[in-house]
Order: sequence, then structure tokens, then C-alpha cells
Amino acid sequence: MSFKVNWNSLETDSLSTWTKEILTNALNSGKSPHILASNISIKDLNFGQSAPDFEILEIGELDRDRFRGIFKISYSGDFHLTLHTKVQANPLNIYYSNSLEKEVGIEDSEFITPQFGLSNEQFAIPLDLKLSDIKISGIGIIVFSKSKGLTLVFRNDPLDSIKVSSTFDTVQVLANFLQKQIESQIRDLFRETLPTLIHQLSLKYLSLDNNMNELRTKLAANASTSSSSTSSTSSSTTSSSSSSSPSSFTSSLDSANTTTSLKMLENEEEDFSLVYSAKNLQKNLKLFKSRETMSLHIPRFRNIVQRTHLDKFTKNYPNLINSLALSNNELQKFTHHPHSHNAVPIDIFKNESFEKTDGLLKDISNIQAGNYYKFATQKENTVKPKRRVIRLGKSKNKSKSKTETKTEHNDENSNNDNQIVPLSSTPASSSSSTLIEEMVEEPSTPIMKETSEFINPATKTTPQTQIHHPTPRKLELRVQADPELHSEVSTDLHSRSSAHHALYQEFIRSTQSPSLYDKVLTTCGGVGLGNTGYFSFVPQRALSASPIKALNEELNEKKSMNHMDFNRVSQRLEEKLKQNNGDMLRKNNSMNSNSNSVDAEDKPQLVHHDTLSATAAAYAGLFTAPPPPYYH
Amino acid sequence: MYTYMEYLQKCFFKTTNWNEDNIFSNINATSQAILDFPIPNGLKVDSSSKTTDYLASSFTLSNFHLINGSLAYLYSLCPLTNTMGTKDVSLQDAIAGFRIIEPMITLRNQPVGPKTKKLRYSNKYNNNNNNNKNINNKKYAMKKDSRNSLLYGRMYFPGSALEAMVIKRINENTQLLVKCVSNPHLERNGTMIVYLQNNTMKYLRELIYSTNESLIGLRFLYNLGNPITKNISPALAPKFDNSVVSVGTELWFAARTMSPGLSTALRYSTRSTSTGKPLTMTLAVNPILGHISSTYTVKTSVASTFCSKYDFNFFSYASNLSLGFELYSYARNKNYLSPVESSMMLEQPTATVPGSLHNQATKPRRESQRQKSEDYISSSDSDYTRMQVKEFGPGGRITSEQKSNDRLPNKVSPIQNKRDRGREHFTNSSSNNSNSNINSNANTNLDAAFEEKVTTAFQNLVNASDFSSVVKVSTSLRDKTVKLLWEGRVKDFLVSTGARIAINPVTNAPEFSKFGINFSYAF
Repeated sequence: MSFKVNWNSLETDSLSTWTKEILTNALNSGKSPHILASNISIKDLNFGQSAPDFEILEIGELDRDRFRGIFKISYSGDFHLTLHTKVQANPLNIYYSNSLEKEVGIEDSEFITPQFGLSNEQFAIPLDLKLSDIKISGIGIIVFSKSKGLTLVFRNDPLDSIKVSSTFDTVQVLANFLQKQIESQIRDLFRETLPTLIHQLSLKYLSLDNNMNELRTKLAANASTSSSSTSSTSSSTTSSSSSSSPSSFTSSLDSANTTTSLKMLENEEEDFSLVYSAKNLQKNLKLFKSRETMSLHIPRFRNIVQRTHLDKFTKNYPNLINSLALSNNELQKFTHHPHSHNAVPIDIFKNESFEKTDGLLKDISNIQAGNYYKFATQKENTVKPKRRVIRLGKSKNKSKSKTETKTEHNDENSNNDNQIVPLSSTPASSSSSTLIEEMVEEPSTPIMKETSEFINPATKTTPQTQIHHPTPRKLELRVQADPELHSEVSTDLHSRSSAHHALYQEFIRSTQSPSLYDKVLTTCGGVGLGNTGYFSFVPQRALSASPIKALNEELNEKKSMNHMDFNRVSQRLEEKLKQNNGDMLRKNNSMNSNSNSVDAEDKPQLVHHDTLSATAAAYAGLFTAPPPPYYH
Repeated sequence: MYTYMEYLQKCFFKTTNWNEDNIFSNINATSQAILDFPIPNGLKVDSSSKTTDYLASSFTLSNFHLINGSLAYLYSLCPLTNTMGTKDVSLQDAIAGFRIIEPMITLRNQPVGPKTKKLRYSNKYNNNNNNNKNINNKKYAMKKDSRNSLLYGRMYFPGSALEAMVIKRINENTQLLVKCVSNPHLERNGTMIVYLQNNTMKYLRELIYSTNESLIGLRFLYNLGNPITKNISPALAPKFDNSVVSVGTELWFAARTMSPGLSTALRYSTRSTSTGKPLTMTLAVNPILGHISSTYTVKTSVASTFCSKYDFNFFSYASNLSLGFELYSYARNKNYLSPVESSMMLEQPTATVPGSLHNQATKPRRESQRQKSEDYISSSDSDYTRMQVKEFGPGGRITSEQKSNDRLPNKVSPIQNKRDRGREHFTNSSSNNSNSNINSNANTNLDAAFEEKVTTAFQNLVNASDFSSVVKVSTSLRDKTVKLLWEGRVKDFLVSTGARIAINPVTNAPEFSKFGINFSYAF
């Protein structure tokens, strides 16, 4: 492989003056030897007509960040260069200057230098030096590595010949001397000066990347002090952080997350264009400290809401209960609930007659469906949402649920093809299933609005090991995640972390519902900072800090607002259905017994969106101008 | 401005009767002092003290780019009693300026040669029919003092650089001078230079060796003409012999770099017969490079000197003209007689009585202590005074009576001031004195006396003047530079400040290329 060099393009005035300037500066930089009585100036510079031949002989290594190759360069053109200077012809003057340099005292003192009379008078002789007929043919090796810079080594002596002519050509001795000196100087230049120069230059340009690497290693070293990651968390991020989060239950949350995020960075093959801002790191550190020390001052982040302050933020967000309240004035009292989110408000079903509940459920399903279609129509491929219908009063309840599980699997594999079947006339059963399935996913996050999709439950395990990872749920990611692998990982981790397990058992004992545990965790994990990806905190403190306590005062204190006392529901259902259908009654009972244990798993998780503009005109303004996203 | 250590070294040379004017490198010292004076760079403060007559120390702090300083000690084997601090020293002693070259005077019956020097100034005793006792005393003193030496060391900080100097008088006319520098930053950690000098009245021979590139140097200086001796009858002595012609040459060879060097020089120093103003002309030639340099320096008045220098190269036709002058300004002290008055007073008695030159009334020194010191320093190159010092002990005060009785047969008026004695060089006065006597003997005494009177008077006037500051200006046409220097006494400090203004070759705009100020205090 060879190159064609457009040599004629060098023949411009601007280039030659620029080159002259650079050369003059380079020649006169530093301390000039005493033999030179004046500065060196460039009298003439001509690149000539013929171009050098540049040929690549071999490329040993070629990668994104390194290159090794052997090339051949040959030149025999008519380049010539004329330098002009003045030479000190009096050797004693040179001696005098050298000796003055050895003086210790203040300048002008001649302590060790003898006082010369006129014998050290300076005598400058003008000298023109012309370098021409340069013949170069050499084989060089270029090694480039991102961390070590560019190295250029000549395998042989590239200088074949050079013609030196000067004003002293008439004096044969001097001419020979100059020829030899300059040849050796240029050989030195090719052998030492040029490689060093190029190497230093390349290092200068690569130093930015080196700094980046340094920073990365430093961050990895003291990961506990800084916690940061980017908003663009990929699937691997989620999986790795979620897999490690249970183990971090007992340890410091932040550090665990930081390490995982950093690990992720290291594993990242492609260039991760992270820009760490010192300010950000500082802020994060402050936040971390405030969490650790119960400091009252919590640093503010732009576009980020602290979980503890989430209520204020979400108060005015449209959600399911608000929408319901628009049509049903009785529900007005619930709207002021501090913990209004998109979950199906269970409170409104409590102690209500079945008819009322039925109507409410209808409303809810209407809202949901309308919501879904609203967004679905915006997209092209409108798929009819699939709603699971549980028919009461039919036999083979168990098998049905099993088949459902299977279909769920299939659905997951075929990703977004979940269909929502509009609620049928079996409100009780469907509602129960739907309600239970409610994810307490942070409902009002804008990103969810934009991606109105239904998520499948990620885990498909037996109730004992089936525990959701208390990680933020990313809608798309969830869908993409391989459920089996996921469950495997989770089971592994659970079996490993005995403490976690013990906690879990205790929780189950206290709440009667294993799924509640998950919900609590997901509630906390799905909201606020933890969900943003910046701080995917494992909600260790969620148990005490979460709104659950305040909500379910009458219930067991660890029950979430999503908790449904199915015994109650079933009692009511029984009351109603006793008269109508005995089969139904039986079924319902079995269903109830099941639902307590199977609730979270094999039903499609409905994520509710607050885009209820269709039904609620009051919220229209909110939707046209949605609140700023939590994170970006 | 000399540093205090340089000043002490000069005093040492004077005390030990070592004529520096005979050294070849000083052949154009006068023109150098007026044209090529050094300009201080940055701020420098120098504080020195002479703790005893034998020992002195100096501390220097300078700030140029970075702060550094030095600590110096000097030890002399002979007491340096004739030195003064910056408060009292006269500017003529503290600052390099016009050097008046003294003619050779030898004693009658003494062979011209190495041995004659010690008796160089003693002719006046014979001339004045003085007793032999003094001569004997002097000889004794000389014997005793002939093995003087001086040790000097300076430590620089920061860094660990050291410089040291040893002056060792081997015999009366021969001395060894060793200077060395120790600096770990230098290759081979320093250099050393050795001078072996043989200084007689007639000539000076010098052998130099420097370890730096193995430099070998040979320097000669020969004073043309026969020294004035009393061998010849006074009538045969030249009438207006107050000029000195010296011819010198130097040969250099740096063995390691094979660098040769050669130059010769001629110096003619005389006094104007009409005004008594001294002038010096030099002509230096470097035959290898074809370089010729001629200088002409004249002391135009008591307080001013003018110097011109012309350089020419035969090979390249390059030439250069340098001009410079120095102007002294008198100390403003109303108590003292103005120089004009004193000169008027001086004219009067000398015109009538040639022998009583020293009766001239000059203004007294500012302080008695200063007078004393001045005494010593000015008379230091006179063996006679040194002997006197020996006789009366170092620092001992010689009464004017004693001294004048010793020196002159004439009746010395009691108003004669010591200052007068001190400032004028004994050699000059005595030689002139003798000349005048000769002249009077030759019945040409009126003219001759006038001549004598004029030259001596002028010199006395110069020496007697109390100056407070001096301005030096020099310029060089080829280099397009102007150098300015002001040196003077501020309070008790000697201050030297100056600047060099050069025209930038590129922009043709004048710019300061050097600027600095020195403060020096010594006591």
C-alpha cells in the first residue's frame, strides 16, 4: 500500500512563511551556543517539486486504540534550505563566554575569568549554510497506543546523503568539517530528536483520554465516596444492579450501587462517553453523607425529587383516584390522600356494597381502557389490549390458572403482544385479579406516560422464592429481560443471602401475604431517586419510611395500601352470590385461597397511567404540558 | 563601585606597595571605567564590616529573578588600617574612575631592577637631605612586611557554590594569586586560576594558568624610558618628565580547545603642562583579528572626565565609536571652603615658595576620623607612610608636626591639614617636589615651578575635593546603547543605580535592557 502525496500543495506562500517562522523559532529557542554571534535566520526555503514516497509495508496490529505498522519512506527531491547566521571566529571570545558562565557571583563579575585585553574581542563572520540534495530512504516502525502515545522508530539510518554548501567552501578543511557535522546532526535528528518530539506531541494530544482512565480507576478505588451513574442505563445495568441489590440489603446502599455501576462501566466494551463533573460528584457525596448522618440539610438536585418529598410533588398529578373522583363525588375524600398514586385505590372498595364496587370497577376499567386506546391510537399498531378474564363458577380453576401462567410465558416471549380484554361481566373476579396485580410502580413519571405499555411480571417462580427484586422497574427493560434467567438469578441470590431470607420469612408471617413484601419493596424501589437510575437505591429503609404504615393503620401495620383483604371481599361476594350461584360461590372461595399466594405472578401487570384527559377535562392542561421529567 | 571586598583588596595592594597599574589588563582601566562600567541588575544590598584591622566580613543579598545572597570573609596578614566605611570614604576611592599613572621614580644609587621598587618613593628623603634613619627604618619595615598574604572566601546561597582567593607575596616583587570556584553544577566541580606575577617598577611579568580548558597565559608590561634616578645630576633630568609610556602584550592559549589569543597595547599617560590636567591615551591591537582600538581620556576639570574610544577592524572594516563622561558633584557643606577658594589659596603660597607645596590650605575632612583614615589610604602606596604607621602603631595618630618634619625640610605651618597630606599621593608630591628643586637648581625655576605647581595643584585639588555623587554616561554608536549610572552617598550608604537603554533592532524603539540599584553599607 502506498500513498500519493500531493506535494505541490505545499508550495504556497502562507505555508512557507509559516514553516519559516516555526523553524526560526525552533532554531533560536533555548540557549544558543557561544560560537554563534547572532541569531539564525532562514534565508531560503524551498520544498522542491518531487514528493517523497511513502509506502506501508506491513500492518502488524490494527485496533481502535492501537496501531503498529512498518512503512518505508524514500525521498530524493530538490528540497533545499538556506540558513544565515554569524559565527564567532575568535576562539578566545568563545572561551571567555564559556568561562563567564562558570562564574558563581552576580553577572559581570570576573572572578575566575582572567581579564583579557583586546585578545577576546569578538569577531563575527557571516555564514550561509545551504542544505540540498537530501536523499532519504528508510524503514520506520510506527507504534501507536492510546495510552502510550505514538512511537516512531527508524530501523535503519534514513539519511542517505545530503549536500552541505557554505560560505567556507573555499576552505576545504572547514567544508569537510561542516559536512560531517551536519550529517551527524541530521542523523541524530532522525534517530533521537524526531522520535522524542513526535512521542511528546502525541502524548499531549492523548492526555485527555489518559485523564479519563485515571479518573475511572480512581472512582473504582474509592467507590464508596462517590455514587454516580448515567441516566442511560442499559439492560445490563439493570440486571447487574438488580442482581446485586439484595445482597446490599445489609450493607450500605449507595456504595453497593456505585460499585455495580462502576463494574458496569468496566465491563462496558464500547466507549462509554461519561463526563464526570466534579460538581456532580461533590453533590452526590453530600447527599450520601446526609443520608448517613441524618443531616437535615439535603442537597437539592435539579429535576429530581427526594422520595421523602414525593408527596408534594405527586399531589397534583392526575391519577386514577382523581379521575374517579371526578365522576363520583363520594370518592372526593380519597383524593386528598397524601399517597395518591396510580394504583387502584383499594380503600374505595372497602366496606362497600358489591354494586358499588362493581360500578367503581367498571369506571376504573373504562378509564384504563380509554387511556390505553388514547395512546395506542397515537401509535400505529393498535392492538387490542388483552384482559384476563376469570370466569367464576367454572370448574378446573387450578388448571386454568396454570394455563394462564403458560400463556403469560408465551406472552412475555412475544413481548408486547399482551391483549387487554375489556372487563367482562364478571367484575368481582376480574377486579380482584387486577387489583392484586397492581404494580405500585411510580405512576406519574413522565417516562411511563410516554411509553404506555403493559409489562409482564418478570418473575415466575414459586411463592417461596418468588420475590421481586426491589429494583426500579423500567418498563421496556422489564419486557426485554429474560424472565427465566432473571428468576434464576434471583433465587440464587436469595438462597445466598440468609439474612434477607429471614427477613422475608418474618415479613410473610406478619403480613399473611408473601407478595406484599415484594410490593413494599417495589413501591419503594419504583419511586423517586431509586427509580431514576441515578440512584437505584435498594429500599432498605423503605419499610419504615414508606407510606405504608400511615396508610394501613387499621390493618397490619406492614400492609400496603394495595393490600386487599381478600377474606373480606370473598365474604361479600359470598353474601351476594349465595343466592345466585352456588358454583360461583365455590369457585370464588377457591379463587380467594389461591389469590393470596399466586397474586403477583401469573397475571398481567397493569400499569396505570394518569392520562385521563379523555374523562377529566380538568386535567387537560396538565397533559398538554406535562410536568418535567424526573430524570434525564 | 567597588564592593567592599574589592576595596579592601585594593587597600591591601596599596599597603603592601603593589602597583596595580603595571598589570597589563589594567592598561586601559581608565577608559573601561568610563565607557564599560558595570550596571547593577536588580536590587542588591551589601552590608560589610571590618571587625578588626585584619578581618572583615560582608553579607550580600540580591534579588534578581530570585533572591540569593552571599557571605564573605577576608583576612589579611597585614593590618588594613587605611580603610574606611561607606560613611567616610571618598568617592574617588570607592568608585573606579580616572587613574593617574605615576611616573617611575627611583632612588639614587639604586640599580634599576627588582630591588629598586621598595625604594621607589624614597628619593625624596635623599632629595631633601633627609637622614638615613628613615631609610633604614623603612628597609626594616619592608623586610618585615614582604611576606604578606590575603585570604578571601565567599559562600553563595542558595546552592553550595564557593569562591576563594589567596594572595601570597612570595617576596617583595613576586606574588602568587590563586582564585578558585567550587560549584557542584560545574563540570569537575569547579575551576581554579593561578597568577604568578612579578612586579617591578620597570616591568611586570605574569604567568597565568587556568584549569578551565587548560588556559595558559603570558602577560608583559614594560614601562619605557629610564626611571628617574638621582644618579644623574638634577640638571640632566628631563624637564617635564611627568609622562609614562607603557607597552604590553598578552599571549593566551587554551590547550584543550586549541584557542590562541594575542594582543598588544600601548599606553601614554601624561599631564598637560599648562593646566596640569592628566590625560591617558591607549592604542591596542589584536593582530590576529586585525582589530585596533584607540582611546583618549582626559580629565577636563576637577570634577569631570571625558573619554572617547574608536574601534576599527582591518579585515571587516567594522568600526565603532564610543563616548563617555563622568561628572562629579560636590558635597554641599557650607563649612568647608569651596574648591575654587582652596585652589586660589593654594596658588598663592606655592607660587612664591616652591618648597612649601604642602602648605596649601585645603578644606578639612568632614570628620577627624575620616581624615585619619583618608590619610592612611591615600598614603598607602607610600612606603614612608606605612613605615610611619608601623612606628606609631596601627591606627595610631601621627601628629602633623612629626610627619611634616619627617617629610619636608621646610617649616610646616601649623595650619597644614592632614587631609592635604593624605589625599595627595606622596609620590607625586615628592617627585614634583624634587623636580621643582631640580628645576630651581637649573635656574629655570620660575617656569618649572609653575609647571610643577600646576600639575601638583590640580592633582591635589582632585584628591582634596569632597564629592557626593557621580554621574556616568556612555554610549556606543554601533550597539546603539546608552548607559547611565549614578553613584553617590545617601545618608551613610553608597548607592549605585543605573540603566542601560538599547534600541531594539527590530522595532527601533528604545527599551530598558538592564536596570538595577545597589545599596552598600560598611563600617
